[in-house]
Amino acid sequence: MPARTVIDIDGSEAVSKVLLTLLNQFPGLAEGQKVLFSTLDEASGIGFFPSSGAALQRNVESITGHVRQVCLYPFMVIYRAAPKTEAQRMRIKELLDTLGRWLEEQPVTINNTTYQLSAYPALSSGNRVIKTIARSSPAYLNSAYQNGVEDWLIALQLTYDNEFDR
Amino acid sequence: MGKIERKYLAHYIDASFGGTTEYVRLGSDLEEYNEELNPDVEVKKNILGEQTVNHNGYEVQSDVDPYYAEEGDDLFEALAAIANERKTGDDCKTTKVDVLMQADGTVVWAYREDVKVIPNSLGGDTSGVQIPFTVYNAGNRTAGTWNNSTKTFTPSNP
Repeated sequence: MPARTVIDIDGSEAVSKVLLTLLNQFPGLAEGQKVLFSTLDEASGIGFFPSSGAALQRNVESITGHVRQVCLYPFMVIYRAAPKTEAQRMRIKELLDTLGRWLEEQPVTINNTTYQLSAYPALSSGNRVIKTIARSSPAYLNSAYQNGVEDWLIALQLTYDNEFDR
Repeated sequence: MGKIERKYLAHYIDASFGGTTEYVRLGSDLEEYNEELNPDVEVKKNILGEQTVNHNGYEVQSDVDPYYAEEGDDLFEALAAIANERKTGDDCKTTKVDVLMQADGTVVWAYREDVKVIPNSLGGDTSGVQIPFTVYNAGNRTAGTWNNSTKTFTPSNP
């Protein structure tokens, strides 16, 4: 029988809000461009989609009753567009890969300016702290539709700690 | 009668190492902590088939591993001083208090004992600076009472 996955519901909500704000601070976004939560326009846009929720990956209780949980929040960012040329496709892929690097706190160069995320934002729920955001895949073409619209996708996962006393 | 939760058996170390007593609780990073009694027992059988048991006491010690350094942690600072200055002997001496409490905070028993605290390493992996150490009990075990609010031990027979 497969093990039951425990979801940290409060954590999932807190992460979704903070992550959406963070994604919209990505310096690679064009002026007026906005990352949307779990939705995309029919022909264009960037959307952020949680894959499942924040799954409890590890739960450790110390001898003092202090509990440390490590939770994993997988998500993907989808860039929808109708590129006409290979160069446009390359630009979309490059943008998503750059977003991934930026979220990993690596330095990225956009329009000859180097940016680096210095710290992850604080989560408002309990003692939850974002530890890492990492890519679980490079950007790739996920879907191509008959009208020329394509969905480019990058998969990432966010890890956070949650601490409390029992 | 249910099991006693592990959190109700608390272990405190005096982080002042001879200064103004300041007990800090061990175990915020420990999933397990055992006071190993290491009994010195000799079992003999004579030619009549009779068995004798000589019990010569205990060599009590306990490992605190991992122990993560935290900013402003007095115990870490004391341990780091021992490690950095290669201190030995009584410079490593302090006291330890073991306390069993009930869920409502009532102290069931409390014992204080002299100990020597010896760091085993300094460094660790990327999870944070660690300074695991071993606590060697050095006798003078005394029963008493424990005030959980003030973190003070009072011997029963001073």
